Amino acid sequence: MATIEQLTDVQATIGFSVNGSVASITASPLARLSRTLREELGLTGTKVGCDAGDCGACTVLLDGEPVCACLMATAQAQGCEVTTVEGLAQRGPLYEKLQKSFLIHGAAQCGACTPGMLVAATALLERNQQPTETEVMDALGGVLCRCTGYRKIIAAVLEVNDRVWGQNTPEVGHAVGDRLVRLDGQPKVNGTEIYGADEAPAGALAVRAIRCPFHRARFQFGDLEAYIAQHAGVAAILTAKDVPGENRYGVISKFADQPVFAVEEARFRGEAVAAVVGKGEAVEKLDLQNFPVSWKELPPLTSIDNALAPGAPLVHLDRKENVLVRGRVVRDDVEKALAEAAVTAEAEYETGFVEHACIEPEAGFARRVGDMVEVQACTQSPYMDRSDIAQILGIQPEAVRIIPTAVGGGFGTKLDLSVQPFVALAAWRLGQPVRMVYSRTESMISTTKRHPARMRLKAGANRDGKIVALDFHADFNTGAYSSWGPTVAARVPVHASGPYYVPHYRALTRAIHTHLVPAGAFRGFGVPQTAIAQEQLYDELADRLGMDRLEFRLLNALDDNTPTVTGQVLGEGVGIRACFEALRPRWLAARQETAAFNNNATGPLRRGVGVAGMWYGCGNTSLPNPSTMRVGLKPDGRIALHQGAIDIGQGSATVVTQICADALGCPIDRFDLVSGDTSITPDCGKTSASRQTFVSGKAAFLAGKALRREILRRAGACDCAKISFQNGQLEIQDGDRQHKITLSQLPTEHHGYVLTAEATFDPPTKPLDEDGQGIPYAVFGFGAHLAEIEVDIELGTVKVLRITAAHDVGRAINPTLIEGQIEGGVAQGIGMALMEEFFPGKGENLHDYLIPSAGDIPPVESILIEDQSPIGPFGAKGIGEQAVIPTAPAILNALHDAIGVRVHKLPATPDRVRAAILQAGIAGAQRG
Amino acid sequence: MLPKFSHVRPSSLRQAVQQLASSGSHVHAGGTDLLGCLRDGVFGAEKIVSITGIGELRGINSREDGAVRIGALTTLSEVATSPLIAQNYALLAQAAAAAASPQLRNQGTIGGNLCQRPRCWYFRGDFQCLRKGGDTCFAINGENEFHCVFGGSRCYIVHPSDTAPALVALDARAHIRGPLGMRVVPLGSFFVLPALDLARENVLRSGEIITHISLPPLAPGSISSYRKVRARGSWDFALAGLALALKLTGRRVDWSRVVLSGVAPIPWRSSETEKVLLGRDLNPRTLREAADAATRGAEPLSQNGYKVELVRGIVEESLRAIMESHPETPSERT
Repeated sequence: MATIEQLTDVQATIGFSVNGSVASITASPLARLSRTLREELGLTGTKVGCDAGDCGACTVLLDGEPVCACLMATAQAQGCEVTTVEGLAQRGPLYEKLQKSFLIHGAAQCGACTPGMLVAATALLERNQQPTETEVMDALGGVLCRCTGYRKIIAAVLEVNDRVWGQNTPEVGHAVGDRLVRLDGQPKVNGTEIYGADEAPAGALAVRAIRCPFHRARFQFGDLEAYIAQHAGVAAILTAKDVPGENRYGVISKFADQPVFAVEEARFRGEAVAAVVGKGEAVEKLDLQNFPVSWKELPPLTSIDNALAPGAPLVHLDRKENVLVRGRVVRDDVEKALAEAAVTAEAEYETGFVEHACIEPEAGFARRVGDMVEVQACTQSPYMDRSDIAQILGIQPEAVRIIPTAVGGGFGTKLDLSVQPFVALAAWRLGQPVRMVYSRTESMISTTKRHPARMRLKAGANRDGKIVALDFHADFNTGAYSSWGPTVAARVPVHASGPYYVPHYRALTRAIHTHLVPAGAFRGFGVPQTAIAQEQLYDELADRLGMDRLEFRLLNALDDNTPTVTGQVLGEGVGIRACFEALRPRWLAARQETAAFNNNATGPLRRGVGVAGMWYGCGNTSLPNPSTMRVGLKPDGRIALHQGAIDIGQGSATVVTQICADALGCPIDRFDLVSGDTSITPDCGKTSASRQTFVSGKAAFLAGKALRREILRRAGACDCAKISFQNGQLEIQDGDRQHKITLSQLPTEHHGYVLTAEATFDPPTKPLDEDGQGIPYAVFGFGAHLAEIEVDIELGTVKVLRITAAHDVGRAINPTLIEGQIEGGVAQGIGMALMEEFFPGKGENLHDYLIPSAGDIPPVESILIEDQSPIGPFGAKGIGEQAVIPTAPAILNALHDAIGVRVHKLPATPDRVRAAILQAGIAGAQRG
Repeated sequence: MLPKFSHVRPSSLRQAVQQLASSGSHVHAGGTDLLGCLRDGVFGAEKIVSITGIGELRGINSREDGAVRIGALTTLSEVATSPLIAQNYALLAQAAAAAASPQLRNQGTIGGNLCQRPRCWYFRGDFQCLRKGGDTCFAINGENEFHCVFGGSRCYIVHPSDTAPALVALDARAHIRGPLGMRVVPLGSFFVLPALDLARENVLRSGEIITHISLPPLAPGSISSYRKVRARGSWDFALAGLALALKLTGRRVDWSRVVLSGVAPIPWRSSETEKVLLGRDLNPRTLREAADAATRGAEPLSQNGYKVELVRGIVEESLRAIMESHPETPSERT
């Protein structure tokens, strides 16, 4: 039987209409329509997220009805009318309103699902101008979004006719706090945004990786030369011996251990051992089953227990007991305090691998330009990519240029290298451009995951309700390579107390190697798992004390003057109490409503309400993490902001510009963004650790202020002067005095600017001592969520009815974008609590691995608390990771509130909930 | 050498059947599962016979005898939104609307929905399992939370269709055209258990295709419903589902069909439940006994015992909803 690649060898002439024009193309009748649209017709607005109909990113209209272009054979379109996102505007004025509505609502974050959403929404609105919320959710139910939490998309569709849409430009000095439409939004709603797979030089070769099909195997290659000779179009095969520099990379250089290509033994299913490079179609059609490599499967370590068992083989010979690293924070005598506590509670919790499920699988290309190599790919960390690629190729970092594309979802996984080493190495060696696009399965098996955690903890409190001690032990399955394992092990002990005063404390963590896919960074670096355990345990303490669970948290919440578990006294900007207080009205009402519902319940439904708190340090843990911003004034009066902070959809490009505009005192519409490219933007570090608003934003603030000082100095004006632009002149109004600077008469520096300023900010931290005492972060974000849920005790299903989220963001630079982060975090929290668990080797796709759909997200009310940070720009703190942390524990606390059971192994799927109900012998669960 | 491959697009049913007569040929209808199966090596093909151009296979019509005919190429969206179906067979409209996503319902056909390959991540994945000619069912000792609790033997697949159990409950028939002419098979006999044949999920022989489905009229006053439990709100397969059709007098059950989805290699008709219900009034005791009967004989694997509980819950909840919306049987009031 032929493979799909061979089947697509047959060519036919297929005619159909695309966006109103007739297309007649010669293609394989079985070529996916998505491929034909993108590769043959250049319509890259249609995104490919899964090639399986699971994500809906490729949704197009076929004779007016939405279908998944990835599941359509091109021949099926014969004689039909196809409309892609690029052609929606031709269908009438509705679409322009829909685009604007998406922008105003903040319905597009990374933008990878946006074309699919827009197409699906257009189809709905064309036949139903006034859809209900349920109709919108159903119509959008086939398109997955990982960023927004869907509510803003639903609102954008529902309210498409509601407002007169205009462009909003805040007054000078009032950009901060404005619900400014994201500055990079238009291409996301036009379908013109360029992601990793959307661009490649003409004639670029393709590269495909040969990956280990076993958790652990030794391997040997056969005759590679013969393979090349036998396969027309194959130009080269790359293996470890082709790596000119170090066959090793990793996000933390001290622990770097991951090879580009494994040598002799592969340590996880999905690890690359070789790569085939050649002409695009030829390489695409190879049946890699026939690649000359023989495998000898070895017994793998697939769990923490296996890896810690005495005599277990070592994943890395230099890491004893398979322990990558340990983390430790200890304060006073926890055992004594627990022994003396009036009440104690203890528990064990376990979580699984969670997949990032970015709608955009990793992709990009590289080309050699003389003695330099350029890599254009999706990434969260261009400068880290640059140093790793340089090390792999054995060249200087300056010889590597990283050009980030738009990033179709990151959440931490695109901090690590993916396609970059393969395309860079191939382009470097062959001297030709080379591209690579991961399939969904390849992305799922080879890129990092959230760490599975096994946590054991015990806490104690006094009769007056004060927490006296917490003893926390956690092992994290870090997989085959280090990735961000050390960061998780270090960050968790600092955060395991939650945002509370805990005088006696011990938190010990280990990152354990196994023969599974590497676990890395995923929104929160281990803290979301930790909060699941700690926040449920604190509920138990409150119950034992007979205290209201919210009031118990308020009583113990940190304030400006209480020391954290590392002995840090924050002094200002501790907004956790305000968060809990903001939830109190809804808490009291929800408690009453829930009790009334349950008292009257005759059927299988029970309701519950739960609360959980959170704190999260912004930036690296006791390590430098500077950002540098450059701002330049052009002779024509435009302002260029060189901002290297990678916007992965969260909106940092917009936020840093808002900050810079107000620091400079100039209108935001004068700004032109020069975004992340290692050759033209200074280093803004990586987009992780909720640091871009805080760290890069502060650098933008300082750069703006420095440029302002320079302008005022030239005018001899005081700091309160107003700057404005008139006909190529800068006018400085200082009280009654007016100064004018004619910009075109000033000399330009080498960037082409007449005035320029650059500033660096590195948050002040202090190293932690051997007991973990010190100042790990300059700023923390705080928050608390309240979850209201409904459980079907006969089916074990859980429906989240409403989330109320209060977050202390210091200063809300852009409330719309912050709500977007909160709602997206809530959606991921719901997934973690109720449905998401990845099993390496099984269900490596988006219909076995479930992420929340439009039908799973309840209304989310965001309450923004502004307890300003003394350090952040205009008082701002981070929000990206903070948003995901409290949702899952709040839901799990609500589950306990509803039916009195706790699920100790997450996610709380219907089978586990039902099992817990049966085990607890809940009254009413036994029928009759 | 590459095998010879061809793609044909016959314009009539007769041509299609001729084309399908050669070995290695495969029907291409809605195609929502075809490209993925070919890519993943779930099955191969040497000839793809695209039948989408055959107009006579499309559409929903009522016939003079009161039956309704649904062409095999009718999309799930068309089934879900057809007033004729909604009025006469609410259960089928609900089941079609609950399948997959709007995009897949626009593309997927009712015929294809009945003939789709099973859902099992070993069968679909990189495993040479029993159904693919290997010698092991990996689910038995593996991750089997989504596998079957009824009807498994050696192989524990689940039939993924939502419409199939609905059609079984409606006593629908599949009209099949093949090299030897037409034949008609009741949907209740259309699906094949692993014990009978490991290599296929239905009785279609080589070269045969479904041309249409016929639905006999339901007795006036019948009620029907489809309920599906899934792990997320949109676009998900059934963990367990229930296709239910009843004829009541007051609360007394005169006739019923009880067919489960998501729990067996075929749509799982529970005749025992139907027996319990026959002639009885819907009351808490009947509900409990019906739920017990529906779960009798379940043989869960290590991780899917919850499906037995789901079946129990879904049967009881669905019957209760019907009970509560119907007046008590007059005789019971005395």
